Amino acid sequence: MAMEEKEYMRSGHMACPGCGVASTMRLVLKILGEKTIVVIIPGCQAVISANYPNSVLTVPCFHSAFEIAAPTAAGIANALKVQGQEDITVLAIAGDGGTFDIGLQSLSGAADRNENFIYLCLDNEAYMNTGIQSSSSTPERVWTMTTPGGRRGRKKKLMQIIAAHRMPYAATATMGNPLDLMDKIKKAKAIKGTRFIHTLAPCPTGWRMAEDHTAKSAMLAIETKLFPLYEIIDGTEYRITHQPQGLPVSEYTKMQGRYRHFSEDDMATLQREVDEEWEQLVAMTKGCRL
Amino acid sequence: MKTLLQGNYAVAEAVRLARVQFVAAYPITPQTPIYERLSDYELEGKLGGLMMRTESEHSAMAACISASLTGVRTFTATASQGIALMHEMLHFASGNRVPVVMCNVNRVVALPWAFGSDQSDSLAQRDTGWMQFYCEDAQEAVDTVIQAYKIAEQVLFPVMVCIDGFFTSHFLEPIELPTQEEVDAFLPAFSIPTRFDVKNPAYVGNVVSPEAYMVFRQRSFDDMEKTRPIIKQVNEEYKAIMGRGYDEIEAVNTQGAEIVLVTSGAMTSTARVAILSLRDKGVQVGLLKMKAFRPFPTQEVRTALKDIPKVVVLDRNISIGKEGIWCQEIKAALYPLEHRPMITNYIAGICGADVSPAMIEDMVMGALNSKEPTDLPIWVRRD
Amino acid sequence: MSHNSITIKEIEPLAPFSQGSTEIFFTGHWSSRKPVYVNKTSPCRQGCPIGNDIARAFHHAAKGEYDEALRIYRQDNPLPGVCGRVCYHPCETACNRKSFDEAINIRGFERFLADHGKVDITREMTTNKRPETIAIVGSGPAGLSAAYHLARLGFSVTIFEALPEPGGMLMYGIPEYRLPREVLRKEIGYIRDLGVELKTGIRVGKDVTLPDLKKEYNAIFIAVGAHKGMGFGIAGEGSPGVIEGITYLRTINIGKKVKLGKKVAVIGGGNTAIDCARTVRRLGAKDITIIYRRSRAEMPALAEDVEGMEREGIKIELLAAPKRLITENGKLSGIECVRMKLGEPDASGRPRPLPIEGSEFLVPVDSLIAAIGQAPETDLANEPGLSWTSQGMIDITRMGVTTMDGVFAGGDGAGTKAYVADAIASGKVSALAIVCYLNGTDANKEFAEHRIGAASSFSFQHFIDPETYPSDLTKIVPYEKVNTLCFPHGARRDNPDTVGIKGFQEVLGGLDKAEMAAEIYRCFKCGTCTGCDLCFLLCPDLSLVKEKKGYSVRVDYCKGCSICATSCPRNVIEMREGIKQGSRVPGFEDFREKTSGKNEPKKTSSQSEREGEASLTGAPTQRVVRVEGATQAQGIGGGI
Repeated sequence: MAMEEKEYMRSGHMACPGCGVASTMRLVLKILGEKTIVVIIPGCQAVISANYPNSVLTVPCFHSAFEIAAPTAAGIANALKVQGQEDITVLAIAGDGGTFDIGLQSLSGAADRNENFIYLCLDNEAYMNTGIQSSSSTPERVWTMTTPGGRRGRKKKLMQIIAAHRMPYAATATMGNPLDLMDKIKKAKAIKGTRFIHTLAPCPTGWRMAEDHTAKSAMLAIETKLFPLYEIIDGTEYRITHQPQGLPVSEYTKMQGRYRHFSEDDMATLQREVDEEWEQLVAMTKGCRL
Repeated sequence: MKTLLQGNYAVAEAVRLARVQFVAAYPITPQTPIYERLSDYELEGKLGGLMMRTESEHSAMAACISASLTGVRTFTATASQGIALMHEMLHFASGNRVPVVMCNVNRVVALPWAFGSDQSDSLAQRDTGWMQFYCEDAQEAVDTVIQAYKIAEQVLFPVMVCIDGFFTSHFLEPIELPTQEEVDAFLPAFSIPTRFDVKNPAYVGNVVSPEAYMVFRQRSFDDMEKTRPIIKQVNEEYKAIMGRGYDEIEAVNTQGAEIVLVTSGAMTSTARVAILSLRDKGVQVGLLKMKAFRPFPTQEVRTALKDIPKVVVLDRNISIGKEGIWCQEIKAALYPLEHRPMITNYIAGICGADVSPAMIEDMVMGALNSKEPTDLPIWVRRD
Repeated sequence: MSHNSITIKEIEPLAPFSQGSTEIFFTGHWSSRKPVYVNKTSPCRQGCPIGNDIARAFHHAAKGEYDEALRIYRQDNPLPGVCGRVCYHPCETACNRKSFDEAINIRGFERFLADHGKVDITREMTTNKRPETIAIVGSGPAGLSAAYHLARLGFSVTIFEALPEPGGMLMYGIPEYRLPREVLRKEIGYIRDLGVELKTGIRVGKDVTLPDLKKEYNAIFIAVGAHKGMGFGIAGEGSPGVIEGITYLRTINIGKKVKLGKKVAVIGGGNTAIDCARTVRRLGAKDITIIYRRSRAEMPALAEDVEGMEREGIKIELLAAPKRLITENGKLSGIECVRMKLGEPDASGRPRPLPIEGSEFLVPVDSLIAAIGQAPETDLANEPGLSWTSQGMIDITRMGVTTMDGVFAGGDGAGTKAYVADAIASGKVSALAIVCYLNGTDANKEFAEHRIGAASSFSFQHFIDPETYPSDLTKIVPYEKVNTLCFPHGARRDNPDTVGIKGFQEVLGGLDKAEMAAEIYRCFKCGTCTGCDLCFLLCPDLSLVKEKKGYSVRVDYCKGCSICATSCPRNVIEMREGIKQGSRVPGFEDFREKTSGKNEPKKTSSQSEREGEASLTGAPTQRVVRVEGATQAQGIGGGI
């Protein structure tokens, strides 16, 4: 694959060293290019994209409110349609909080209407910008500042919710496999309608992890099957885009302090859950309709 | 040539005539016929733009703001719970300085649950930085909606046009609809440059420092003050083409009056009848109709009421812990006067409860005959 | 503001409209750690006796640059076509991929390059012609290797070879089904193309003496090999039907016939024994047995050759040693063998074989080939001043220095490890020793400076041009430092073994292009930056810049997070402390690929610091330190 040389993001931003959100944003924009309008909502992505009078991205952006990444993007997309400017891509960027929790309603509405934009969820599995509070994307038993004893409740199966909306294109991706991520953005760019990309964006600060482990932890998430890479077309066709090595999930958790308190039983449960969900995903690719 | 139209449908006509390009809305009683009629227009190709049927009012306003920033003429309508839900976005629209126009069909806000006309819903948004105009009837609503675009697109503030739930929204009225040619002559096409220009990219609306925030805030404040001459100017332009116009306040028989009744919205029509009756009975009573709420027409109110000994303010709303909202604003406008009128605040018609001309007469007489001012408003109900 | 004329400039002060660049914030101040690209050495290179630059060759091959890959191999080894067929591949034993799934078929790769790559001999020569002349005795792998390197360095080299054709054991020992003659002749031809003079049919010590050579040449390298088979000292050894292994092979390779019977035993477990057995098989006999005194694990022959031999129907009698030969009517009729058991390790490090009392048994044979060891066969045995060991090899130091001034020795004749690769390595090391001898420099010191890790090999290219050499030879990439998460598992592609017995036609086929590509893809390319761009893509701060060759670091913005170093698939990036703006990075500031064997004028380090270099986004960045990766960064180059 020929590497696009231009960048649409600048250095000098205030992301923590080793930030998974920043590198994901960069890769996505690299593919989308100049004719992109970006909606950014509160979260790490907002801090990273810089304060007035500066901007980190070199494409037009709009800082919208927390729960409305989707309808904001839809409003822009519809206005562009009225203006006859349909070669401009509208990208909404939200964190897991703004997607799984407070933004889920408006995302559902936009998806239901098949509004024409790409929704990028940067999932670092908690409200990191406000100081590591749990969200419905936080995995079970994991430590956060508001779940010091471990979160109760499993990570919400967002992609299943997405699939239920029959979006033309949805995919999981991560900066840990940058080529796969960029391929998916390329694909998404060429499709009209609501497109959803769920990215795992590791956060050394919130995951209590060494800051150089960002990419490696994402790679391990993929290779342990904890975060499989796949696509859903029209809500029904599932395609796995990367065959994981099938490493034990402990390889992934052992480098993160937020899992440190896990007992052997907890780890066994986690491994079992990961294996079961992987099997379910594989079954979906074989045409099993839920 | 007049057409018999339900108020809501009249508003929809105005939106169509104003060549609105983008409508995002969510249904709520008593606004729904506006939304439905616009949907019909969209299907018939009469609406020259897109409709977005959002899953909440909050999202509707969000979409209007971003569409407006992108560079199209936008509209939404709501009421009651809907405008309450939109509250965050109302601040957002004003802060973004976008010319969104919204029709709010006044209705009480829960709890308790009810559906009647009450201005609490829109008046409670007074601090959000929107321009607010209150219409007495459907005709005024049509004219105000069309004028609102011309004002908004010059001053870059969002404008709220309020009509009474059911009394205006659902009553049939003979309406003089402007023709498309007349509206086109009055209102040019939307031409505000997009803020999302791929050739001149910028980050719109990002976080500012405290010092910068204050500068933007004060700029908004100053700019809102500068809208006053423009409101008047646009009204003159409208009058010149359509033969109709409205001032921010309308004073009826206030010269030399011993008492002036201040009303707004549909209540004003009833008040006009009550005033005539009182005059027949020899009471030197005048009427001040309030159309503009934001920017508050302070100078105009002060001029109209400065020599009036007694003022009655009729509020179809209440701010719990203080008094009726129009009354608060009137009092504040009159405060610098050396001789301030004695002001009585009546709370009536809450939730669309019936207010008859006789009741209004009683309120005026009650105020006229009272010697001492009261701090608390007087609640008037038909028992 | 009036209608129809609002401009964006009028809108800007109303609500935040930000167009400033964040590059005014030098986030590089957050940390003093910055990445440095340091190409390292792969463990396969350390494992190779010759020190072939394997990972770099794979890197070029991955880009389709097979000629370049071959040229890189030939910087150390002039006989890749030979090694690619017969080497015992210790590189594969050391291969990091082995710990992931299966070792890379490095030998098959070397063969592929030799078979398909084009040699441009002019690119292998340096431009410095030297007046000194060097005589080499013996044209086996050690002699050919020494000749090649010395000729490359500009010396005039003459090889004296006793046999009619050059090649030594390669020509006269290894059968054609393992090493086709044409392959060897082609590679010897390249050595000739360098200007090496080859005088065959001349036996040094007889036709010309060592003192003669000493008068005429500035230095001498003796590489006579070990062409004399050792007897095993048992009764009946001199009977007809008994032949020594290496003699047998030489006779067959010359084209003569050797009369053997129908039941043949071959004593020995090394490659000579296996080669004898399979040669006999091809010449008609079907009942062939290898008799070896230790177990399979101790057999010096390559396991795959032993397996290939067994597939040809040849039997092995393990843990058995001949006790005496049985003759009938003056002819060999059998061997009395005794069962052995393995005891404590002997001097060679292998378990000592001990006979089991009363376990004698008979193996009926009518011919016997003894392939149990070789020693040098030379007229120099009594050369005064030349010292020999008790095992009958020339006495040398590690660098090949003998007891005679100006005379060096190597290969089997000097007792180096008895494999082709080790002989070639020995010739290379002695070439270095000779160069140092003629330059008046310390050979041991030079060897240490250009040594590969802890190996007994060194890089000739590093010796020729240490300034621009693009890798750190002292740093070997361990498996733990390979980011295996970047690689999918995949099965090893072996050379096809489908020919079977078709006379002396080569048994192993070469890998085809697709299989080779798959194997090249599997190679991690440990320590060599392939320009895969992973570091570049992962950097959250856009602190890495793609250059024409490699990457540079924008130290003004790099927060030192080290994602690049940790994620690098092949352990190229190191984090260093205290790199300030404008400072030099010790050792590896200025990498440039040497081209065409010609010396390019080198830039000074101040020229390599770029002031005001434009960043990718167009905004100028000051104070960039150029810290460059060594190799071309064109796209992904064979994937991650």
